[in-house]
Amino acid sequence: MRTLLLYLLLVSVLLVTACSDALVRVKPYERGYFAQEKMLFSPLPASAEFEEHIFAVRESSQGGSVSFQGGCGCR
Amino acid sequence: MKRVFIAAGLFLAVLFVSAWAETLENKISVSVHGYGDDADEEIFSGKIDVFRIFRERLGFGVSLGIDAISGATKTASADAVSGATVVAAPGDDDDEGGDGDDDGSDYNARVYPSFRLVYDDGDNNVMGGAYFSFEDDYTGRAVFLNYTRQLNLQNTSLSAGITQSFDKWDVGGLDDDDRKERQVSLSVTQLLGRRTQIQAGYDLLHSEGHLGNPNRYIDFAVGGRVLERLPSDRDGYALSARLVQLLAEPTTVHLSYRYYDDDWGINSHTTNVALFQDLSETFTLGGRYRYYTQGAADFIKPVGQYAATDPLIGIDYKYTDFDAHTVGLMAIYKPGSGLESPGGGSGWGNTTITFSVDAYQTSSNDYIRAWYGQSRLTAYFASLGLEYKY
Repeated sequence: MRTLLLYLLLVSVLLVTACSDALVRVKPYERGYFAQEKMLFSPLPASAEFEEHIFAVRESSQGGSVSFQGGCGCR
Repeated sequence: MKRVFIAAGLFLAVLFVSAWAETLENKISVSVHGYGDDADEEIFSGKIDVFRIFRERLGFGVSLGIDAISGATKTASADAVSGATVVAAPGDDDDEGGDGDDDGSDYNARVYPSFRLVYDDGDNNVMGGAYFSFEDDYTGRAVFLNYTRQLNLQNTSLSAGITQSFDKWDVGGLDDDDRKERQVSLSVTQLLGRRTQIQAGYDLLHSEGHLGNPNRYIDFAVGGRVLERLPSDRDGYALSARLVQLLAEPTTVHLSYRYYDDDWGINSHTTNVALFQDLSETFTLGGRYRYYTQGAADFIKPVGQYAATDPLIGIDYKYTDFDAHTVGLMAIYKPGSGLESPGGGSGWGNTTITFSVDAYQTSSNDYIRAWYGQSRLTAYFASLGLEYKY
């Protein structure tokens, strides 16, 4: 729980301080590449959701997913 | 300088973002999926999702998914995990004492509707909703809430989310038929340049209740039938990172890594690499390789070493140490790319069709041998999706 609070605190601090100009790396008019499907973290969202479900059933690890996975008896 | 230090510290410490933030776009998605493995387990699945903007900055989405899941797995051989009689699984009761043959024709249905409400003003995105899952012997109910904040001219995004489930087994004979799971996710995404973005996150996970599968049991020669016995709670965390980089137009590389650790003693490493390349203005082809490796839970014993009096009995191979490899092909087809829709509205230009097919194989494992009668598990799964923005 302390770890969770620490991270929440860090996030809050970052939100308040609004980061730094050093993190402004790309201007709005320079983002053309990011509009492409293949530049998304999950270019095939339907496939990603299904395969994460398969991995959740077949493997013991959780977290780090790109979508919310609800409970089911198969896990 | 101080602010830079704080940002850098967070960036190192808080790994991975949930990508749950959803942009406000009217759209309909339909997808179908299939899974099959050499243990005769099959899943056929379909899902439809509709999202609509109903007020400025507000949208509402509903989805409905249906799975048809086969009766799962075969009866294992005698003297398997228990050193006693039989390890069994759902759908095997009718065959108990029989020839161990399961033709896989016993399908169970799972229906899982969900809804979500999304607020987005460009800098702040809030998504909340609920999820339900109904099966013969299991009911899942969950609520989720996620907040994403855009910073630095949208070069940086921070996200915090929580999900809490209140699931319930509908199986007789359990001391505790509840199962609750909670996941808290913190994440950050940063554009590193015009061709590169990274995402990192941290997930805290907690589960409690009946965490084992009541359909898995061992018939001991002394002690009778014993259900899988797992600890009644589990705490873990996952650290993960992703990178997407345009190597050179038109090729993109995706890299991801996840480390997972929990208080059952299981830890794992997951790496994934994928390449996407535009073959034409409308068609993108991709390939991927995923490697997964995990250690065993502390309570796992070698096959044949369990006794009915053991306080913890793990039957599923996924609590043992094993590796798994996945290779796959992906395709994205945008039939209207480069075409102008009349009036700039609907048309093929707003349609995306995706397809993927993967092969999955575990390493050789004694539990798989005991459970399925083969040294490793091989599976194939595929997805076909269509999204239309209207």
